[in-house]
Amino acid sequence: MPPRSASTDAALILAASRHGDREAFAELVRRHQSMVRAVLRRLTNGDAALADDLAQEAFLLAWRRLGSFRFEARFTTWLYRIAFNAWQSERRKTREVLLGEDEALPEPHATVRGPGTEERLDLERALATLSDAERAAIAACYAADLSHAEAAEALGIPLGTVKTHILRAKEKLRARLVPKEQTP
Amino acid sequence: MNTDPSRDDLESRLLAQLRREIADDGFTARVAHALPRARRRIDWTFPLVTAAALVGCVFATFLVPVGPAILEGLRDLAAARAFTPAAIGALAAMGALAATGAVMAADS
Repeated sequence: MPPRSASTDAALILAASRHGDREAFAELVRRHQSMVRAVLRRLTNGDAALADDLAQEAFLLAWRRLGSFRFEARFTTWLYRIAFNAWQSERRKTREVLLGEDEALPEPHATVRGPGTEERLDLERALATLSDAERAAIAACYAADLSHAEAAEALGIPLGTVKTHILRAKEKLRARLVPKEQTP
Repeated sequence: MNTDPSRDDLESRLLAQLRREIADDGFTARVAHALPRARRRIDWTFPLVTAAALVGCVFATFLVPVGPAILEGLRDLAAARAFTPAAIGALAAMGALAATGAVMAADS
């Protein structure tokens, strides 16, 4: 039997869904954890702890629903949709709590300092100004590497709307980033 | 997403920031540990349908007027008389049961 790391995603999915192979599923988690956690960190404005909790929740849900995966879409797209839904549920809960409070933009969570940290924080702050829909579209296309069409499918919105969100998001980011960059 | 060589600086920064590899740092182990214990699921479809078909055949054999004919057909078959109407009826009943079994086996 070939080592798990040499198996294709499809083989691992079949092993996990048909035979309940936990090691095969663990290999899938190992392969896709970075993407799922990066997407959720983006959606949660850099809250790594919350993002990891949601990522764990998303993978547990994926384990339960693996039998319903039909190979019609990429596994990444399917996973993104589950992660996005997990974040949406969490968002609905916190939205209720935030009702009536000032809509001040949250400060992005601190990240590890190092070379280029200031530049990264600038981008973090700029990303935090995006609407949820714009951030979700940016996360889908840049963090999860989905095409616009795949993002539309995963988010359950029309393709044109995804393109509009991406366009608007990039305009907002440029407007926030460029002036600073031009100052000496 | 397709990357375009002419993409601007913003694209590069987004890609660099959002597609940075996040180290596993025990995350996979944490998820694997949280996976629910596998429950051994028993598929009752096959035994239930087959048992129901058998019970139906037994009832049909003894309660429906056609039953004695099937018994007679079985006797004919035992006596190597395969082309009597009763024997053909019994063969048809057995064929239907075999077909049910085959369909259920293929399905499971």
